[in-house]
Amino acid sequence: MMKVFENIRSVFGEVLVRSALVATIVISIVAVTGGPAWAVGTSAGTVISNTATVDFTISGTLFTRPSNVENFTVNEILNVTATWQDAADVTALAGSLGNALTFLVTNTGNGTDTYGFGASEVLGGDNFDPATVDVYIDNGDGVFDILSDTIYTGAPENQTLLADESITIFVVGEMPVGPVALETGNASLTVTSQTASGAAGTLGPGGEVVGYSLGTQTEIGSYVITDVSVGVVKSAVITDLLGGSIPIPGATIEYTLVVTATGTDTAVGVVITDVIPAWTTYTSATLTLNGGALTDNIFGDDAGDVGVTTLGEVTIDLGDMTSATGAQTIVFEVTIDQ
Amino acid sequence: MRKILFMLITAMLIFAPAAWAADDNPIKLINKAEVEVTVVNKKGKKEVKLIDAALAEVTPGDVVLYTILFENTGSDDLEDIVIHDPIPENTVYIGGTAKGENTDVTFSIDGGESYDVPEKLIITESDGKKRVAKSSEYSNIRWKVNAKLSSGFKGSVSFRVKLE
Repeated sequence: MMKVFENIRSVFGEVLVRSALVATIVISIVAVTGGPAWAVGTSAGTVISNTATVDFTISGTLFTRPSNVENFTVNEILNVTATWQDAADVTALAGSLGNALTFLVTNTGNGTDTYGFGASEVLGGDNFDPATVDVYIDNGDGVFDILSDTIYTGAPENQTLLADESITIFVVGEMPVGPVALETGNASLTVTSQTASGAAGTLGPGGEVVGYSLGTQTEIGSYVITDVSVGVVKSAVITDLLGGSIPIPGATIEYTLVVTATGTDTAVGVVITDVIPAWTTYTSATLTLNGGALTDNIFGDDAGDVGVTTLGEVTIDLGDMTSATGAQTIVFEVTIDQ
Repeated sequence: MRKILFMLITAMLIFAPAAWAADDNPIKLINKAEVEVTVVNKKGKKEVKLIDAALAEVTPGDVVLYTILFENTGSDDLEDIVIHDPIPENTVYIGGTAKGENTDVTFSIDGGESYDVPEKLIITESDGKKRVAKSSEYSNIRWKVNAKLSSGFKGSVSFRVKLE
């Protein structure tokens, strides 16, 4: 019995709110940047060989002779691009941590190169400076995750890329508490070749040539402050078989989730998920939204389903929400297993 | 026995055909690749210098000048001189750069099987449409020298390519 109580309690903290403002949505854009048309070109180390031939006659007899074989070797050119990938300014709450700007770094040279990174938050053209910024190396999934991505601290996290290879890099910022909704703050990523950088034509230790990107590139991304937040208040009413309110086997629990958006912005694509507690079973056909019944087993026919989007969970898609949307009330019932 | 052998060698020398003698370096053909490098001279002015491509840092996008020098190093007149050169792999020919004094220049788009002037080099697209080939599609260059080259005389032809 105590077990049931613990589960019910723990569930109170497990309601999940998912929204574009909360989750990071990465939209990849193939950015077209300046620079020569040969993105990479002939690989460093390629030998370009040429032999001419001459035909001639002496007193009517034809002769053919080759020239020397003229060879030269293609040197490595060092080029890199960094492009900001987010489709729009990344929304962030004032005072919040872990806000990621997504950048794509590409080795546009013709040989392998190793890069170091830096981030800066003190930039013009904006309303505020982020409080702190860190660089994280993506683990390959293109989505920022503070646990699985690697913070860049210096040379040990330098990244080596083959010619034409790309890597996703995040600049992760902490917002100051001051800015208000719609104010913007810029942060930049700087990527620098560890082989050589400087004026175009500068030579590296192995004859590598610094190209038009100067061996280093800085790209700016932006945050925009949002003040919208989505709150969920969950309550439960227990009815036992004896007409009381003790959570004993056979008793029903009616959960009510009241979802409200506050602030002046729009919370985009709000999705509420709630886990059916262990030791309980969902009571069929009890899911409602604002008093209207929702089907249990069909995904997409209305705003919600039970166990279809995610097994063992109630999922309600509330769409975009603003403070004008008003409270959205979700109700469903479970029975404590006998 | 030794005497007979000596006589045989002498006979071979005497009866060797003219071609044999002419084969002994009738022409010197030197092909050199150079790149243009902008340097600052002693007067502090920028000047463009050609340096040996093998000694330069050549990177994609660079323009390489090929010069083919020919010299009659024999004693006979050389006639009907024709110089051929394939466009090196990983490079493309830059239109209008094939030069050669007193020569007729033609190009190939089939690896040197046939040559013609640019306006007669026709490419048939996969959809059947025909068009004049672009200079970047040339595979070979040919120079026909319109004069005989007497002993000791020399000439040169050249062209430029861009490294891809």
